[in-house]
Amino acid sequence: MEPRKRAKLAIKWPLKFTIEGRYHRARASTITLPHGEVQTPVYMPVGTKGAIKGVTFQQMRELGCQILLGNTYHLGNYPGTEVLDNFSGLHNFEGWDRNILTDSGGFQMVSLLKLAQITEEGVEFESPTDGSRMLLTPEESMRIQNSIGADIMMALDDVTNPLSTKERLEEACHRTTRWIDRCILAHNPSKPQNLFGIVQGGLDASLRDISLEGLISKNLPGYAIGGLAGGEAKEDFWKIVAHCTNKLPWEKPRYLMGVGYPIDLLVCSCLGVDMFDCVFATRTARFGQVFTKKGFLRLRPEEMKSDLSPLDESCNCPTCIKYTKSFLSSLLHKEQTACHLLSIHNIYFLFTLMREIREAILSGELEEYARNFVLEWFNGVENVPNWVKEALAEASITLN
Amino acid sequence: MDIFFYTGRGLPPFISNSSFKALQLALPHFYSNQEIFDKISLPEYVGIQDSLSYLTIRDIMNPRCHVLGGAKPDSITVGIPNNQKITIEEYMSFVNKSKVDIAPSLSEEASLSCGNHRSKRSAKNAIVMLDSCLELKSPALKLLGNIQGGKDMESREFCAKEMKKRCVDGFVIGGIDLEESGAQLRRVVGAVYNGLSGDSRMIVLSGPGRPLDIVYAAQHGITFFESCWPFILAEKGKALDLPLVNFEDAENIEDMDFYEPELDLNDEKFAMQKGALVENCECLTCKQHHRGYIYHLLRVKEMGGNTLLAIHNSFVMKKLVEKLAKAKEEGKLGSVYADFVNKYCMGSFSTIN
Repeated sequence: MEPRKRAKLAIKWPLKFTIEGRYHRARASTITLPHGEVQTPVYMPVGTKGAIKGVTFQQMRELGCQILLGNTYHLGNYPGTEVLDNFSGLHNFEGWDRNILTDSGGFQMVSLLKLAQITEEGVEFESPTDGSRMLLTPEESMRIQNSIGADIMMALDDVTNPLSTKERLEEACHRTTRWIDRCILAHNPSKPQNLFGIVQGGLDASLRDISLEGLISKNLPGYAIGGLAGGEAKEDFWKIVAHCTNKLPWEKPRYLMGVGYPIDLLVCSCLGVDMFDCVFATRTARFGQVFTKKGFLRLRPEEMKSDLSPLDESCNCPTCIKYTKSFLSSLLHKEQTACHLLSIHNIYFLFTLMREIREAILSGELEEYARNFVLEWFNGVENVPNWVKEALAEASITLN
Repeated sequence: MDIFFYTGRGLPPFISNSSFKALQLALPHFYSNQEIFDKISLPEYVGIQDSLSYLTIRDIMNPRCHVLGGAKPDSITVGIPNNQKITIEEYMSFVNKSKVDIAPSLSEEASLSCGNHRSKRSAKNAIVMLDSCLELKSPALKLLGNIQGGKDMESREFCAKEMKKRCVDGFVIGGIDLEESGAQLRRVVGAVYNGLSGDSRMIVLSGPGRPLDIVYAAQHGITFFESCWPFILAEKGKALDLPLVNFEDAENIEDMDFYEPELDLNDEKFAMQKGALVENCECLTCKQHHRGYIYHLLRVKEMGGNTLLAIHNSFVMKKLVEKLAKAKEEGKLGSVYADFVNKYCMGSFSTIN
């Protein structure tokens, strides 16, 4: 046996997962990673190109952030692995001493599909910035992620829209399983790093089963549920989440990719998901929309001209403590800094939501918490969509 | 001695969690919604009630925000939002109601590039308008005599002398535009210095607030400085390269123009560079981030790069003014400008090659 393969057999993933409490399917846990502990359920803000838009890492620390996302495709382009290696990885490069998770770059298969050709070898992209070609193979994804040095790396998956044809979904599902071996083989870290596999299979439970079986056998330190949040019906969405969390190993973290609506975070936490990421919180803030306990709030300068209340009366974020709707709405589309204040509010809102869910799990009061949150969010039980009721019922939570 | 950092609408550019001790607020952005200040003060409204608030009549960073006067010294017209005419009564009503800490008397802004007629008229009218403002001011407000006179040094000195006789809380050298810096500005400072001759009340220098101008003005009795320069540099991807160690003695060099040391972080040479923007700088940016990272953020057009530069630049300016205040306390302001120029602005000092 050649030395490289012997090394692979000896991989001991630097991740400790401790479940501290449960409420039926929901769990409150601590993931211990190379850059510290992460309490779950957790929302992970996205710093695509090495920064959270408009928010400094110091502010992220003050908000209590324990783990951030970086995007392999973008970081591989700029600054590139030569620079990342020069700085001994992304943590040192960007000045963030807590945990980082990187996606595999596979998401670009969906978001940049017109620019991509997917083959068994990998995905060939055309750079949207300079038109150059970039071949992202499982090996290349691992090479970049090893340079980044993320605490959690994602294996390259063949991402497809959940509404694709069955043939395409099946192809993606099998290819993702084949690629995981190439990822493990290519993993060549200079520092402790973990590799999560991504369950694919669209909205077809039998395909998900094939994917689950293939990945779980690799005994990875954690697993992600991919291929959702692509425009599928909510009824289908939650059922696939529930299906996957039901079959994923209880003793390992589960990460639902690209999901960030507050109500989705609550429902899926109840269904047993531990980790979430999404750009929605910061993206929607840039368009003047914020989260409140009573649902979404869009800032409207004319209507809010005289409104001296904060964005959310119950919120203690730095934005709500200091500023009124009148002031913030007057700045909309005039001062970029105002969007950052809204981003901070939205990130804080999701951090608070996840902390409260965790506390409710630990104290055995998740049902009461979820009920109160849902009824306030939808303004009464009569407005709660069926999918929420059904999903929560699956998690042994009723709204009555 | 302190800096009034620029804000247009209440937030400094790029920085969403500033803790500046003194901030500008530009009247044109709040004037049309002034009914709200019946319920809440302007500093509270913009969340700076713990800082010193200073009203400006124009928004210096908005090129459309001219402040024009006429032959009669009873009103001005502000360019934004829509050439708003404001009388003295309306202005003082707004100022009193808004409860800002400090405001200038109403005056047109005669820049250093305006003609002789307007320069002279602005000085005379500013004095008349100051008298009217004084009659209408609330006791809590610190009202500053707005020294005008454009580029006419006699008018500037005359205006300063006349205002010195009034019961004002201080003075502001008005009419300094964004691009105005250097020798002509120093002559204006000199003229006002002569006019006020040793007055101990606060004196504010309007304008961009560049380091050299601030150092020169401090040597000539100015105690407060408007400054938007840290943010202008940050927008361009530049960092102030002032390590601010002790100044050295030098000859008088007031009439020369000098280079203010800056690092242009857009330069590819920074891509691989580790370490702080300025060695030993204690700002958050320098303590936590590499030059290479800031280059990267600018390269991919992430505003975080401008934010980190704004944090650094404003920190350096704060430190500069602290140094000046200390020098003043120790009676060492006499040669501070020459020292500063010699130390930093002769091209001999550079941390980066």
